[in-house]
Amino acid sequence: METSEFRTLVIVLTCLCLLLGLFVLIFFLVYRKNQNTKENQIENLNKELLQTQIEIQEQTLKTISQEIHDNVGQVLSLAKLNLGTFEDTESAANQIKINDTKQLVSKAINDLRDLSRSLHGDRIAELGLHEAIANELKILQNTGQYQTSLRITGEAYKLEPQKEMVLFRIFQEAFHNAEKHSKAKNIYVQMVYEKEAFRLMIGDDGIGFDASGLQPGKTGIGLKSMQNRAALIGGALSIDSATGSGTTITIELKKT
Amino acid sequence: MLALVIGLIFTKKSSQFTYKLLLSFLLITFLNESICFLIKTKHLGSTYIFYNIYYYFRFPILGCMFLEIFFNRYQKIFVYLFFVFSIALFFINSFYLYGFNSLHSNYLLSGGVFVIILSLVHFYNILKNSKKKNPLKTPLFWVATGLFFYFLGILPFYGIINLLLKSDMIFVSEYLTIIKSLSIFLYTLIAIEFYIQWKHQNSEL
Repeated sequence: METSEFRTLVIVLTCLCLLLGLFVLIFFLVYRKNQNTKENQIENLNKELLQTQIEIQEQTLKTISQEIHDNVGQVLSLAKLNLGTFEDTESAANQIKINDTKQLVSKAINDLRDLSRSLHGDRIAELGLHEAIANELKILQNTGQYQTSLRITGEAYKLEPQKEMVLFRIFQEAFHNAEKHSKAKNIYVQMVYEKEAFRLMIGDDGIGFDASGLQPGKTGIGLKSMQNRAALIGGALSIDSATGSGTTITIELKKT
Repeated sequence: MLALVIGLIFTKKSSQFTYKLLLSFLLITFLNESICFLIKTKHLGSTYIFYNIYYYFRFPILGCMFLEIFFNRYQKIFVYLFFVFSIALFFINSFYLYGFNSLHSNYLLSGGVFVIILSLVHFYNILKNSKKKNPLKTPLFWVATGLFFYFLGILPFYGIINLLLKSDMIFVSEYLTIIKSLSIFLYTLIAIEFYIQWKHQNSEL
């Protein structure tokens, strides 16, 4: 082979190698970009799906709340009024029964009113997160089974209504989990208002569980639902628990 | 030189070990080039021995650098195998094949292929990682790109380097222009990498 041919061959080979490299790099970047776009689309779709689910759930809760208030509540009030008409006509023994029944109906009306309030989204938006949580804790405290406390750290500020609603629903889920499973005596809530972030902590002194055993994607429906809700508002949910040492659920919401 | 200065400025104590290795790679390169430049200008003899020793350090250092960011067991084994291969080839080339006064072109070629594979594996790892992270901000992306192009461009030359050194010095000097351009490209990307890791580290604090 002649020297000039040999030189050309080496140069062409070098150019081919560099072109191949360029092709690989462009392919890599384009593929990665497409991958990112796909992941974003899936994420947005999941977010929309979750948003719809939550909206449907809120609407259902609202309907139930209204039904309790307007229907069951009214029926019970009427029943209480009817019981009032028996006062002078019955014997002393029956009078005691009627009074007891009136008290039970009154309690049922009050409990249903509380339930209706805690289910109704608009009511929660009206009260604000702090008040809504305080009300829930008060109701629980009144049962006499638990000691509750609410602590606020930092200067309180208002979050977006939708975020407050989602946080309240997460709180309710955590709160009911504590009631159902924890066998706790004390339930505490801490709301931390910082410049960069807001933190909501729901804790109990119950039996706890092995949180290290929780695997992503293999959590229960309740925990999964809390995590999804937190993710929907751009928050991060963490669970701190160990067998015998209570549970603390923290939702951190970075301020944008 | 520029990449080295930028590396020295932007590499902190808290920087990842892989960046410290990259810095040591630049230091060794700078040291070797300075020594060889002195030997050449003062006509003190052949520089091949220095280049050979340098190459036996260069490829394993680059391997160590990638080893730090590889998590796959087989990828790590591949790098370790190359270390063993380097030691074996050093003895074979030095005492049986080339001696010390000739460039160990087979090692240059295999080292070049080794670094190209490492870069491709690194790209593959970035693709596999489903976290939505900008690839341009992934550690060692710029270095891998620079090394990938540098060794792709230099590979045909490495393959026939001994033949060219004996028969066609004019072409060697012409080809050096391509190598110099690729070197500028590589070291610019290394400088960018140092800057990006520094920015990323600052944003994390």
